[in-house]
Amino acid sequence: MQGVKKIDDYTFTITIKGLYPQFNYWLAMPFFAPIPWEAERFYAEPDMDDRNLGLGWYPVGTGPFMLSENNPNSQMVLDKNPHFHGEPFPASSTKEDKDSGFLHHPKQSLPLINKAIYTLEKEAIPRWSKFLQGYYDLSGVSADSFDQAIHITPDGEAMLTPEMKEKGLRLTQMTDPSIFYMGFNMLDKVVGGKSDRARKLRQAIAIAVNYDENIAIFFNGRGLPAQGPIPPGIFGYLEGKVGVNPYVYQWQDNKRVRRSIKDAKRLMKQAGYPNGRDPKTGHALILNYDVPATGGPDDKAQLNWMRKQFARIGISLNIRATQYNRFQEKMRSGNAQIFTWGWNADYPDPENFLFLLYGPNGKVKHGGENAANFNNPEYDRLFDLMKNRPNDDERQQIINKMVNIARHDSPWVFGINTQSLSLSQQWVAPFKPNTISQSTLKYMAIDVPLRNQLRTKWNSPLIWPIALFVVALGLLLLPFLFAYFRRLKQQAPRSML
Amino acid sequence: MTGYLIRRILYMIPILMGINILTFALFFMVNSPDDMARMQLGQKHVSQTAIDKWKLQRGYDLPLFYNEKKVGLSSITQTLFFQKSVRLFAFDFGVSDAGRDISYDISQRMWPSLSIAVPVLILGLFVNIVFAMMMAFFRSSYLDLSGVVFCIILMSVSTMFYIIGGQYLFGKVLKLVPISGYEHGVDSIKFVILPILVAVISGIGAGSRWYRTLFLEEMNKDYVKTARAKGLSEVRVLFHHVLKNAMLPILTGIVVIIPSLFMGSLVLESFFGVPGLGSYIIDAIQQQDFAIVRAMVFLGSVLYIIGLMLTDISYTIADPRVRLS
Repeated sequence: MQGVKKIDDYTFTITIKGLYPQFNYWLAMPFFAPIPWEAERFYAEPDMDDRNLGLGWYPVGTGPFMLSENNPNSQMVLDKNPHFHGEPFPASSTKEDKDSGFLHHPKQSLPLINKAIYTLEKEAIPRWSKFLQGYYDLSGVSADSFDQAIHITPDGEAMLTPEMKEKGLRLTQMTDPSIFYMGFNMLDKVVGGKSDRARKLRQAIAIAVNYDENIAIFFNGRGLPAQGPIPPGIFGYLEGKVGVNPYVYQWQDNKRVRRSIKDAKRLMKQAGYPNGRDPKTGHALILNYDVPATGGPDDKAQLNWMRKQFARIGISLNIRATQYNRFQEKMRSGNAQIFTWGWNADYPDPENFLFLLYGPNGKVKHGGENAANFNNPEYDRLFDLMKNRPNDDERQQIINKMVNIARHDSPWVFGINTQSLSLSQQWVAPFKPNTISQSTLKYMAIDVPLRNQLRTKWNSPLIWPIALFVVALGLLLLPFLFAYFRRLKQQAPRSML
Repeated sequence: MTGYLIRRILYMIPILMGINILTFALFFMVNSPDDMARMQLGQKHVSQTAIDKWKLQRGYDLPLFYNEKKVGLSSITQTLFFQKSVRLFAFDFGVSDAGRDISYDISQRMWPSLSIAVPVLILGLFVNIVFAMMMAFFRSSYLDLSGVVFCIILMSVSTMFYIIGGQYLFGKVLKLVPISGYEHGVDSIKFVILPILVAVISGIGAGSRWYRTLFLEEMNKDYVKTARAKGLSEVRVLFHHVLKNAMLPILTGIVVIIPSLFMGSLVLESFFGVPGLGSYIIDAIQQQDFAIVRAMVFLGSVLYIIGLMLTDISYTIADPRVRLS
């Protein structure tokens, strides 16, 4: 293979053309995991598929664990790989990490556990109950269990409730490297294009759609209103005053404050839609919102909320909820007007977010991931300058210019950077959260005796209520018994004959 | 009766063909082969080349019903519908879009479904008949009235409430059984107790009321009066005469569902984490795996038709006056 050179049986080099710093991230992705060629050849033999034998079902790799049981419909078991090439737990760390207890097994061989069992729980309620019983070591926090598990302080900080603290649970909070946004189809005649009218209309909508409120209502406060295309934790994201989107927020008293609806109405007037009236029809401007819907109860609440946001500036929102396949088709063909979508980072580089607004990535013309079909030559020029640069000051300056263009042109209403909360039992050693890499299991340590002890303590069955129930049932049946004997002795009434 | 059965079996062919056409049309009205490929390949960075390759490998590159590029019979046979449907009639379900042998998966996943469905059927039948008999025995009394009110209360409560309440009470508070999960073999017993209990209790209301009505209807017939007149005890009248004659409509309801028992319960399996065939269908629909959806709909239809035939046969056994012709 051209560009690949073997050094020894376990090492090779790859030469790439030009600069491409993101290539390091590609190397860390699952599809770059080495697989023995014999395994690939073995599974390629005839009739293997008919016997459900394939690399996808019985994978062969070189990692710290091996998949010894693979039933994704019920349970998957990872056992320690005895042939793992070996890797020690880090010997040192920053003071902050050390204080957080992350450096718990320095220099020890990885993995630290012998077995990991993943059990499929489709429903949130049993999953949460079993976590509280100690049958699961880790858990997320679903909307159903949020109030039981999390207390939000007046400062907006998420903390464990006293009940959870008593159980010894540990809370980990992370901002996801992702963004949920509302996009405008820039090819659309009403909301798209480069005219001042359309831009001001988009900016007005960006103020009116109050994502701060959305986060509070629908995400239990687990998220941040996005200020640009780059989420927190990714190079290029700026905190504080300099990081605020000035078209939607103002900086007052050392904090960001959302612009008032008056500002949005002023922009609507400047755009030629005073009070949301379309001058062509004399009626409220009607815009179409294309959204994939599952038909669940949350959908209805979300869509009603969205309709109300647009109504605040006099726009009548026509909701075109469709199945996800149809939604994708509309996006590909450019038939959507306003839509919501999201993006999770493939790798922690701003290029992986800023390319979502890069002209040559336009979805309709080029089949790319620029779903808004945004096309600004200056943005594209800056993107070409930025994409292959190292993370230095110059790159930050270029990114700032690009983000400002995106904020000014408003092809998106920058929606939400979600936050994840996860809980771990007291017998799980602290572990440093990593929102990009999935291969952190090897660093996990469990205090098994403590787990067994607490599981037994928490789950000793209660028998006496059953005994009580049997006695109560017996008493309940007594009248039946008396009535039965009375009826047997009774003379048959004439009506029965 | 043999002629009747052969005729019914022959009727199956057009019915199954119709069901197959309907399933095919409904599925592809919502999902195109391109959508299916995107779902399997992932939503990000999916090129048209990768989609075309996926379709070619799984035979989804053909036109749906008519192949204009072919002539003669091939224009019909070289279509997605023909290629994917014909083998079903030989019960060759092929492989799923994820590359799994569907027959093997069905054979593995039917046991967890059966381990819940069969005890629920037997236990539910027993409990419902006994309770209905009690109400019929104490008819027109306060006990009967209380029983009917109790049944209505049970019927009015949602199945979800029974499931969540059962998990909370028996699994979380009393800690007598696991809240959810499943293990194969003998270990499965502790996992299936709760879903069985929940299913039986949630079925008492509707089942007992229906059986009570059947028993009361029979109790007003002349042969019951004759039995009483000759001095038989009420218990003997009920269990030896009334129950026997009321079994005909009960059998109608029971036999028809016996073959489809192994199709599992969608809600129960999902909440109790049982890897049965109910969740197999749901997962396939969510993953747009047409091969599994088609196979399960076909199998479900076959079993339902067999159930109807068994019902007819059971009539002749329960009531000698009935003859199939």
